[in-house]
Parts: sequence; C-alpha cells; structure tokens
Amino acid sequence: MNWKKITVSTEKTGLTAEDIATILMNTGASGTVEEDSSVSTWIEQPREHEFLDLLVRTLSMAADRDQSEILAAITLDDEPDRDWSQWWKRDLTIVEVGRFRVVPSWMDYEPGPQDIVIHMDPGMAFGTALHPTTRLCMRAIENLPEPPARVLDMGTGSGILAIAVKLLHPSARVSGWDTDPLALEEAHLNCERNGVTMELVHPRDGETFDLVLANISPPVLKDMARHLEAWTAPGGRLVLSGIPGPQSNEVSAAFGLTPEYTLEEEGWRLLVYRKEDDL
Amino acid sequence: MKKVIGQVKMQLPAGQATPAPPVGPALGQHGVNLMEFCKAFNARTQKQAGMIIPVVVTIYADRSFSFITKTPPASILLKKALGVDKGSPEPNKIKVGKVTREQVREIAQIKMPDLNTTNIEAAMRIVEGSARSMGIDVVD
Repeated sequence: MNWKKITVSTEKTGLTAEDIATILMNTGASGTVEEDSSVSTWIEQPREHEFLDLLVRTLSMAADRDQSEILAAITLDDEPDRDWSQWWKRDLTIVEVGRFRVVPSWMDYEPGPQDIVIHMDPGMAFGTALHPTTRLCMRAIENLPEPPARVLDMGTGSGILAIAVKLLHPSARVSGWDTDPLALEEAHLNCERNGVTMELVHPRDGETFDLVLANISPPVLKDMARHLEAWTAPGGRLVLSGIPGPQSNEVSAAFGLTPEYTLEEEGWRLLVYRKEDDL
Repeated sequence: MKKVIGQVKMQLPAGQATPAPPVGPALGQHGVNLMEFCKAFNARTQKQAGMIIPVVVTIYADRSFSFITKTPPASILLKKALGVDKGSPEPNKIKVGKVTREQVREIAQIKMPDLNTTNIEAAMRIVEGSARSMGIDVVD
C-alpha cells in the first residue's frame, strides 16, 4: 500500500501553519509535519481522493478563497510504502576506531582476536561513534600508556566512552555523570547491553581520577575548567573533546596546563593533558 | 559538541506515534531511531490521550536526537471544551457555540508555557482571539 504526500502552502492559502495542521488533523490525518512555508501529511492510497475533497472544501472556507485557488496551493507526491521501522537503519554500519568496533544491535559481527566490540544504537543521548568527537576520545583511550584505576566520564551521554574504557581495562572503576536525566538512563541501559558496570554519580568534592574524559562543548569545558582539573589526580590524564579546531586555543587557555598531545579529525580537535605528579 | 543537523516540527496524537507516516519519512530521512522516538513520545504524552501534541525533534550529527513537546493548539482545546468537531466556516455569521471566561482561563493556563507572556489576562486575550476566529463566543 503506497502513500500520497499532501503538502499545503501557508503562503498560497494565507493560513498559518497551526491552522493548516489543525484542519489536516480534523480531516483525518494521523499527524502533520511543518516545513518552512508548508504543512504536509501522508494518506494511504487510494483514500487520498476522499481526503482531498474534504480538505479542499474546509481550506477554502477557512481561507475564504475559491476551491481552485486552494487546489493550486496543494502539492501531491507519491511516497512508496516501506518497512519504516527498518528504513531509518539503511546506511548505519559498523564503526571501526582502532581496536574498537561499534556494532548496531541488529547486525551480526564476528569479532577478530584483537577487536573490542561495543553494542550501541543511536538514541536520545549523544555518543554513537558516528561523530568525530567521540572517535577522537576512543583513540585517546586506546593510547593510554597504562590502565587507569579510577575513571570519570563527565557528560557521559550514551555512556560509550565509559563502556570503551571498561571493556579495554575491566579492572578500572568507572564513574559517569550527565546533567540530562535521559542520558543517565540510556548510559545505564547501554552498560547493561555491553555487560559492564559504571557508577552514575556526580564526583564528590576532593575525589580524583586517573583519567577524566569530557566530550562536551567549548563554553561548558571553559566553565568547568577548574573542576575538571581538580578531579584529575596527580599524574593522571585529562581528555577534552567536542572542540572545533579554531576554538582549541581559547579552551586550552582556560586550563592551567600544557597539552601532552592533540588529535584531529574532520576539523575537530582533542586535547590531552597530563597533570604533573605531586612533588 | 552536539552539532545540530536538523529539526522536524510535527503534530501527533498523544500516546499514538508509530513508525508509519508522517513519523517514518519525516524522521527516517535523518536516520533517527524511530522505535526509540515513538516509545519516548508515547510515554511522555500518554496522560494526554485524545489531544494533538505539537513536537519539535532536534537531530544531532551522530544521529542521536532530543525532542520537546508543546501544549495542544488553542483551537483543539477550545473544541474539546465545547464538545464540537469543527470551528465555524464563517466565524462572523455562524456561531458554533459558547465558552465561559472560566473555560478560557483554564485553556490559557494550559497554553501559558508556550505563549510569549506570563500574564494570565494577556494569555486569555490570545485564547479569546482564537475562539472568535472559530466562531465561538466568550460569555461571562
């Protein structure tokens, strides 16, 4: 069963998007989508004829215009039927970052001896490895010279970075925190899917970690600089990501440290600091 | 950094989103996890059954997404208060019913989070405007 996409112009009818959406819903649409200067709905074929008759009459009365004018404001497009619950997955694939393999839940993957598999689907929290800022952090995690005992993932999102650390270094004690309660929920579920545990708590005053990960954004990183630095244990590493290349100097200036090294991918920069040992 | 790659504005029946159109084509073209969206939208709106809910979905560069729901359109709330299906085809001449100022106040309170005012009287004037354009009289 195919669909007919019916699009009504706001400009050509003189009606607001809200008015058109309400009329479409009253005419029997199961939902509407508002674009720049139009509102659309999809009707199963061949029901669109009956739907259009009623729609044109109602719009004509509401807009106080002739039916011919209203017809000129409506565009019809064919939309083939698909298995919509699968269609959105069409170009998702396994993401490879060093030894890490990020595998969507519906894909089978036979891991090689060195592979570390993370099971992850895109959802309501950032962190799917489809963005360079996440991949840069995963490379920094793999670059660590020694396994960290305590790890903090600030702004954990989907929990992907915490999960990567835990899978690479199972003995590490990993904490994660996010201001978005939905992210905490997703991070918890993703940990379960990957058979690892992390504590989803905000770090306590005075608590320190051998590795602090923060894939956030320049303004938040700058605001949190003092805390992120304080949470990094002497001799530990602080990894900052989410930074467009041109903004890396101003982020760096907010921290009283010199980067140990930087990484770049598609215009995004990652900064890694090593905090000096206590003398 | 959560780089936004798209935003989709929809109106959907509370608690009844499915991956079929319009959700499927509108969000699927951006690679949004449709099952996750439907589950979350339905959970968030299940208590508003029977209402049409405006929703704005923001899609990020790594295909994660977030969404906010808004209050139902004033016209829908007015029709519900009145128990009618439609507004008037000719609001100036044909009246479809009456609502009391108290009903207008209740609707204004529901709409307040999405209106550009914190003043209940101003919000009521906006709702009264919607009522008039639908051929609904406001009475004391």
